[in-house]
Amino acid sequence: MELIPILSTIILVATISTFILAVGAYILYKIREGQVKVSPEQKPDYLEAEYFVPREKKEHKVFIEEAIEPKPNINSEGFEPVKSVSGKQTEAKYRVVEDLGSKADVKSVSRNQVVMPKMKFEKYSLPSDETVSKDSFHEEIKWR
Amino acid sequence: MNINQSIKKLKLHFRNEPVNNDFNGNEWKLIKRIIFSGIISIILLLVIYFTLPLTVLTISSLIEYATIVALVIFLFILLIRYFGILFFSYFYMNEYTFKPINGFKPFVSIIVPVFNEARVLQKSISSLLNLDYKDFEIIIVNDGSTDDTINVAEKFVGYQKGKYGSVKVSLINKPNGGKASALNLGIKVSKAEFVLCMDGDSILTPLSLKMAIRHFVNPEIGAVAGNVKVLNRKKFFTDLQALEYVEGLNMARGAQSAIRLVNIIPGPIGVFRRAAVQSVDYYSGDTFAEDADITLRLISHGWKIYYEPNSISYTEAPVKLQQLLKQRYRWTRGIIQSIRKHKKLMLNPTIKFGDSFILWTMFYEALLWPPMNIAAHLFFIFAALFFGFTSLIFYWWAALALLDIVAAIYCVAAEKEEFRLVGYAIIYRMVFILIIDICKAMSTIEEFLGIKMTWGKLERVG
Repeated sequence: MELIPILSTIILVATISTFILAVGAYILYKIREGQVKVSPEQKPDYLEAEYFVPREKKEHKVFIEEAIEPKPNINSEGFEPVKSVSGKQTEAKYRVVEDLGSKADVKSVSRNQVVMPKMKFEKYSLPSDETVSKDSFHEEIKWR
Repeated sequence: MNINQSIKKLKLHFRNEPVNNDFNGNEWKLIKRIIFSGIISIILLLVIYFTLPLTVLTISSLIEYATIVALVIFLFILLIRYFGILFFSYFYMNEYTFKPINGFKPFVSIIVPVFNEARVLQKSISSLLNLDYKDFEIIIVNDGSTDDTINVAEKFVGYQKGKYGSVKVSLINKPNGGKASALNLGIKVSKAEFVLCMDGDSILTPLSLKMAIRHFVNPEIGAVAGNVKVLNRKKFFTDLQALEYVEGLNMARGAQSAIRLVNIIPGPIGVFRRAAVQSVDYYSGDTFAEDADITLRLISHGWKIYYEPNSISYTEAPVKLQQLLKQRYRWTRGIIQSIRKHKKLMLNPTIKFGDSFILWTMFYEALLWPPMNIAAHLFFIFAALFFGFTSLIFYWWAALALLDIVAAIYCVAAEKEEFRLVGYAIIYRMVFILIIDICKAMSTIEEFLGIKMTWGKLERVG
């Protein structure tokens, strides 16, 4: 007997069986789903949820200073970072100077902020530090 | 939960979002649809009855002729689709391979919505703590679980040891409201500019976040779709699904990414720009495929969507046929609901051609292809049984199997997947795709008739 008719018969039987299996399984699934009764319930307009959030870790607040040479975009009117979506500036330009987590009661800071000890860094500022930026308008900037 | 000095408890007050859906439960609409489809069917039968005797062919010749024509048309459409996807997928891979890796690593919030995931949550969170990324937090949103999920989640709240230091893990306990509602609450609580949304049972590979986030350096990118792979393999249906994810879903996603119009950001892993999610008013709970819906809304708002093949999320696939049908039933109806929500864009390509194109491809895959495939199978069975064209079915299978084997080899090689999956390509189309297409066709009919459905929950093995 030739091979192709045998294979054709096998494929034909397999296809018909798959059809029967798929339709049968689907009907069975619908019957089972139909047995699960879901009662429609009236839901309120507003809901309440509990939010468990760890308190800010003090050791996360670190004092940092700029660790690179000033770039041409830093002018006498203050530190003006180039607005870039790459975010590389805040990532690579600083190094940790001192961790005051347990020593000082530092005010809460957001993730992108840095806490600047003013006695050290009066003469230049980060974009987030407005008060120091204002000072820099009146005084000459001196880089360490 | 034991509230100590290191953890604070807050109350969140939020709007209860409407859950599915506007499409269900309208009795009059259902009756109108049945009458309409009945009339159309009668007209078609009458046309066939009166026009058939007018043909010069005998019934036997007609069947023979139609068989050959059907075979040619079917294979032609299949080849166009396959080679179109293969071409764009290759084009994308080529571009992707030479894309420079940048150092864009902003702070990211990972939102983990969980509903009865006690068995798998531990593994999932552990995979997140092992991420090769410095600046991220984890927000677990317990969507009213009824099992032990809450206790498992509570153990993680606090600062957990990550790869590069401690990782903040928070927990939100909310009443059950669906995945969309859980994700929305998590995103609203987070303050990060980028959020990674995943499933409670997903296991992320260490590089997944780092690889996905780098694409956001382009401000036009609103979201990045990850690569979903099957976790529980070495079983008949899960292996077939593993092949389907690689050959059927990821290859197509790669092709779509070549034109920055990925049509579904998968639930198990998707990274979003917060501004993009806000611009489309967050996830919507009015469809059963919230991931497809938000993707279409992002595209319609002009955001570009990219696919990152190295951002991998392993997820549990249904093991039993019943579970598989349940999952595909929900996916199909959800996708149809999403397409219906955007039908204006689909019907008018002048508004945005890209949107219209992507919606038509979804329409073709979800609604047109399954009945075509089923009809072709039925036709060949009919021709073989009643007119003796048995050998045709062999050649037809051989052509399809060859096509699937070639595509499987390409995809398995491109994704460095298990080579044994290629073996399943022999029965992939004739068995697996036929079952899935029958389920899709049935779901389409039910959606068209407006039959009520529930979300359903896949039981996790862990």
